[in-house]
Amino acid sequence: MTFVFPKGDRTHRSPHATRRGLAALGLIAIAAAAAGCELGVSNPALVEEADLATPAAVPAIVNGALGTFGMATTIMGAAGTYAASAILSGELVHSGSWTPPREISEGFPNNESPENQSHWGYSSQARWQAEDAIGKASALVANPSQDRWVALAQTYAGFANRVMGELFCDAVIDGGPLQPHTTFSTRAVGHFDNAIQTAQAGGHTQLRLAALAGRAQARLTLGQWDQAAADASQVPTEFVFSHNHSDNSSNEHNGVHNWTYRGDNAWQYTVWGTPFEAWGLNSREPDAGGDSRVTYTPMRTPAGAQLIGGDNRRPIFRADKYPSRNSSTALAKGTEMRLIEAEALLRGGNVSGAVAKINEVRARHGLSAASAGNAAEGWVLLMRERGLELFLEGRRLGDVRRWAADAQAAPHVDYRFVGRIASGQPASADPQRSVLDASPLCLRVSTDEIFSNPNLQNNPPR
Amino acid sequence: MSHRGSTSPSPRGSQRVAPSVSRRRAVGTSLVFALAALVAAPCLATPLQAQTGTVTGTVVSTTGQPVANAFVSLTAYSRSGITNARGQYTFLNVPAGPQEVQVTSLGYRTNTLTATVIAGQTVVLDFTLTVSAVVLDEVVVTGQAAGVARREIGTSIASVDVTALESAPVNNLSQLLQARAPGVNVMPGGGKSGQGSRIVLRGAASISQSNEPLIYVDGIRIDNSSSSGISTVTAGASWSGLDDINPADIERVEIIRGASAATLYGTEASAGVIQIFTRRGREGATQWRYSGDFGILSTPKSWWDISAYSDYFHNAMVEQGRTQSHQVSVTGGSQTVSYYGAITGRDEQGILPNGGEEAYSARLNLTVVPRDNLSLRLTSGFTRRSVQHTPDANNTRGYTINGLVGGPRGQFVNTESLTAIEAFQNGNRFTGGITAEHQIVPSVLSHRLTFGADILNSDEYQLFPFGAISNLVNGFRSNYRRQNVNFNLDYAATLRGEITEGIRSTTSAGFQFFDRDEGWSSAIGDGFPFVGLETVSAALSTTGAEGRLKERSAGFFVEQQFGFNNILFLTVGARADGHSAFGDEVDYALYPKADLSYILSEQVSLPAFISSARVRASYGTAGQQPSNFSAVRTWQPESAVGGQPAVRPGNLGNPDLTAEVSTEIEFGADLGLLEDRIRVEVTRYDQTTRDALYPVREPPSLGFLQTQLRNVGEIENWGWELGLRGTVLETPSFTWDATVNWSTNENKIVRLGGGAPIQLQWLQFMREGYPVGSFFGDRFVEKDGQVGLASNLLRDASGNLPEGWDYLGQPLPTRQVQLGSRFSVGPRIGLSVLFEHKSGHMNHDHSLRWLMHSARQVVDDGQGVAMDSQGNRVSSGPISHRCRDNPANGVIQAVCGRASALTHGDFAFPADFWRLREVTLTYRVPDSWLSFAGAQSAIFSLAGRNLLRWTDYPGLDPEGMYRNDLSDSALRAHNFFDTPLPRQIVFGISAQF
Repeated sequence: MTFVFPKGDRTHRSPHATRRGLAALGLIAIAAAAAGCELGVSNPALVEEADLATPAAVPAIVNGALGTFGMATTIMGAAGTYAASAILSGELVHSGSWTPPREISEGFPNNESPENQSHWGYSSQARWQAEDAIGKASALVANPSQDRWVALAQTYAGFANRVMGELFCDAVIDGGPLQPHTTFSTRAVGHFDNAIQTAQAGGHTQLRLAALAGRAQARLTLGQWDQAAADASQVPTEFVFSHNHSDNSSNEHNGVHNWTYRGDNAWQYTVWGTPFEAWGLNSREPDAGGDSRVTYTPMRTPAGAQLIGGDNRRPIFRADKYPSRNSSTALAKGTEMRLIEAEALLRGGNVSGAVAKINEVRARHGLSAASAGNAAEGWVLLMRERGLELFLEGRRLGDVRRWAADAQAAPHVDYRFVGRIASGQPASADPQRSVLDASPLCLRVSTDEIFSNPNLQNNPPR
Repeated sequence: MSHRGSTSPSPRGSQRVAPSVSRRRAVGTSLVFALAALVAAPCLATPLQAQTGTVTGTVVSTTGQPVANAFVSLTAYSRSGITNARGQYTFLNVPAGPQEVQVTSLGYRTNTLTATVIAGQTVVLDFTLTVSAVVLDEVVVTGQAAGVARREIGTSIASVDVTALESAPVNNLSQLLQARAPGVNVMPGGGKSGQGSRIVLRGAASISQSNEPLIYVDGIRIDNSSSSGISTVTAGASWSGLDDINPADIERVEIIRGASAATLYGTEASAGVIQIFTRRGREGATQWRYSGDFGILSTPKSWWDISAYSDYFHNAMVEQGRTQSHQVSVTGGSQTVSYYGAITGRDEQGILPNGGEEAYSARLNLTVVPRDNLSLRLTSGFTRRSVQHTPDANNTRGYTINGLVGGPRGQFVNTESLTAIEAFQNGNRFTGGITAEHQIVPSVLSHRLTFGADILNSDEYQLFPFGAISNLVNGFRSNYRRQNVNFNLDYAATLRGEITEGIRSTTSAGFQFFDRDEGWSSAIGDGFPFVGLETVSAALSTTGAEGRLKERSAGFFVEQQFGFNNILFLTVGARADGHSAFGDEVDYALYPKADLSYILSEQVSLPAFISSARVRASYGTAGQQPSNFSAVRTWQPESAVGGQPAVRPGNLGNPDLTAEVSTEIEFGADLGLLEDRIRVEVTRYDQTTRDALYPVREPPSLGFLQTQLRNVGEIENWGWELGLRGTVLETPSFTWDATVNWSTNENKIVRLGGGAPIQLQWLQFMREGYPVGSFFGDRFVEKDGQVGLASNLLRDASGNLPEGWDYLGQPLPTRQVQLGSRFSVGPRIGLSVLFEHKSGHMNHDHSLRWLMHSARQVVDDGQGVAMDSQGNRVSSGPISHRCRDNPANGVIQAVCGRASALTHGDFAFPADFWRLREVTLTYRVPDSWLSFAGAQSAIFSLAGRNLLRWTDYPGLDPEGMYRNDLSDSALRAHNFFDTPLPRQIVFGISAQF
């Protein structure tokens, strides 16, 4: 085959034009090839897995687990699991426009809304990350058996599991099969065991007490009353171990403050219509009585009218528990340890002993002594005291849930608060529901987990 | 039969020798264009040569009307010009002897005549063009290694001649592209000034990556991302980078709709490519041009009439907007330098308070031909744009949701207090580059190098003043700044030759290199101590963030074309790409292509009414790269527990990750009927995306919450495209040109690699066997006279629900129709109309989801602002007119009777519509009126946009879709109190001097 060049117009071409052109072509091709070989991409804002294999990364690894725990409990999914469990168990009722919180507030937590995905997802991430941090930190520090960072990771692994055991209907660990929710609680006890040991060896007193208190909490869910009381007895009443929040960045906020106190997203939550409206202290009517552990403020418009929520109907009674984004959230308190002891005594039939323990707590808050003439009154008192003492700390749902399943406690759990909307009528006509009407009385494993975990395909959770 | 003009004078043209009256103004007055002169002056001073003459003439149609903007070229040289408004052209310094002059103009048959130039004299060579809708000889550049005539390529590339749309009511490039070509789906989003559009070509080729095309301006790839840093106000509505390109500066647009023609763009091009060619100067006298327009924007009350508060809202919040624009441009040049320069200013005030847009742009394009075998095309454009967004959409502080749900007191916040909010997107963009074309051996070996940069700096901020907004009473301020620098280097070399007589070979090879450098920072201030403070640093609580990203890609390609007797053309080619986003185990992606074009009518005897016929077929592949860093396991650095260093799981990682590859097979035919007066283009395409990137959900219990991209899915798109264009009627006093574009698109996810359905948003899911992003949900239905939930009524006797019981529809239209006509009455009056239709798709209407909620009842505030749809005052009952007006409709009443939820399928509605998109009436001013102003021509126009709409859609606007700031926004079909597209009526004037 002969290749024939057509006769082009060469009139204005110099004799060297062809050579120059070809040379230019070659140079450009070489330059381009050289440029094209380097196709790296950079983003100085990302950390690759290998970058964490250094002792200098240990604080970030462990703090990261703490940070995720704070997000899971107070921020993600419309103020985290603390808010979701609060509206399911009647610490708050929904007053906004968002449908998923409304469904939870009405007693029907779904498992497919973005909010629910966040509750399960971030709680799972907090658990996984804390457990992963134990392994990473243990491999990187000089003396893991007494290292503070290891003990801290173990403690938070315990709390992350404790929270999930209390709030979620079922357990799934690391993509495994469906298990009872108490699996989390058992796992929490194990992590607290290790934390106590590490903290003891390293002399980290606060962490040791936190782990002891956490183990006592986890044992409530497991029904291990003797052991729970034994752990509780080692924790002084004044002890408090809190998760620190900060306004340094939005991920560090106390998100429950944002949603209940600041009214972010158009006031989605109110104390109005809950048992705590009656039990707590109305800050605008301080002389009317009420327990100062739950203070609330009916909000007003600039014109002085009652402020209503984003649903355009329910009054906003602001929960004053967390007045700042920096407000810390308690994970374990000595006062709760006294209440655990009280509950253990009540179960053993020692009503006066239980009331004495309760009054230790009340005295610490400057409240007058309470009384109970019999076991039934003792249960009513205990349930109210736990509600007030642990308000908006993510504990009420776990309490109600275990009480509802317990023969001794169940008759006293029928708390009522505002549920559905009375269509076409004012908010005051909204009917109340029982906390026991919830179906289910726990937060559900998300559809993200169900659809993506092959172990759940034939055994889906509720 | 060739449509190229003959090489001798034909009855359609004439030559005569006139006295030598050289138009020296062509050189002299060009100096007034200062910027051009700085560069061009040395070259403009080309001395007249004794052995040269002048060629001049007029181009008219067979009806005697002058043909403006016709492209006139001296075929033996790299010299070209365009006709002025009177159809006149002139070439100076043309070498003596026979010279071939060719005239091309869209809608007319190309005509070539020979002028015999006599030294020192002027030759008049007039052309009469016959109407021809067939464009086989139109040269297209996009998707080809070298510019080639359409007849040589087997793919269908749409071309929009923008010069024919000078009087059209078009404010931005998105509107310019709307309803211009089959298979091009421009989705405007909403009626806010400056709001960007989304563009989908043919259909959704990707589940997870961008379905919007690459945008090139004169060979320079521009950043078209619509990320918004002020979403607190805009709720996801953003401007679009595409609209930074001033439509008045555009000469034509080429659109590659699918992978079969996009192979040479490789990775990232599977959603198609749009190439914009800005105006360039041509050889000839300097022409100044002023064009300006003034207009109004409005929405009738009926377009808002969905709520008992619509009357109130329309009266209190909806305004009559206004718009004006002005442009001064100059163009001209000599045989060595030509220029186009323009300065444009545009201002628009939208139909809602505190909404509008201001844009200023300047452009200078130079073409320098220092030697006959070398041309340099310099492109530079600068745009400064400021968009003030009104708060609407999914936003508790939006005008629309507050006003239409809650009346004057608002659903969340007092409606009228919201006018205190300020939200701006301000941006400066410079796009510049140079393309050098060098004929190493003229007509044999050539190469082309394009070097371009697109630099965008945006400054976006939003302000909620202290004390102004009751649910953000202490105020709020955020500022987001972003810089994006794109740099691309494209090179192609082409070798042409004849292998044997009748067999021509064209071999091309080249490469493309792309580099993107992006940086952004944000600052947020929450709560001011007192009134009057407006900066982040004045706030009580401040946070900041910064992000940076740098990525590169490179590809090499080779293309071989064989032409057989100028009748049959076969092209094969391939491109190999590397990309920074590929996994470690992936070196490169390979994209092959092949196409065939056969000019049937030049070899086969056809019925007389078929004047030309071509069949074509093509196969091509193109890719879509995964997002950066999706291949590696990452942790996100952040702070925790009081500013302490922390990391959190980010991306799980996938070392096998590679680009998804779209393969497209396209068949088609182009027919010229009735002596090419009518053009018919029919195209069938079948596209399959393999290795589709699918965001696979890992169990959250494994700790990583982000989905991980994996190459697991497969998507199919198929459809037909039909384009009809032609002159229906042509008499000396009346002409009717008509255009009909019709296209279909069907779409299906073939498989998801075993992955579970993934929720795109709310009712929208990716599910095997259904179109991408389809809507699914339970809803009330009527069956056998019984109203109930589909999940109950649709069960069979065994209690099982049939497959697809919850399928509602898809987000992208399956049918599009565009009907256009242009009527010319005499030499002065023109009327153009353009209708657009889309159907087969759904919108999830959150406006009605809110309004039809059982709890949304009219609150009698004593102000009498709630009205029913007849305009009667009401004091109780549902807010939604749909609930009030349909008491006997069981399904609607069932919906109105419950608390509506995001997961309820009751609010996905068919979004079919017809719209009178454009009407333009023009009047060409008689020459006798112009002489006092020194103008060559002037046109007055009265134009309307979106004047009428026909739809059964029950929400505000079937085209309102609020979200366009996400990579997959093209698939999200949600109307969330989005402002309806306003009517626009514009009076314009255009004068040429």
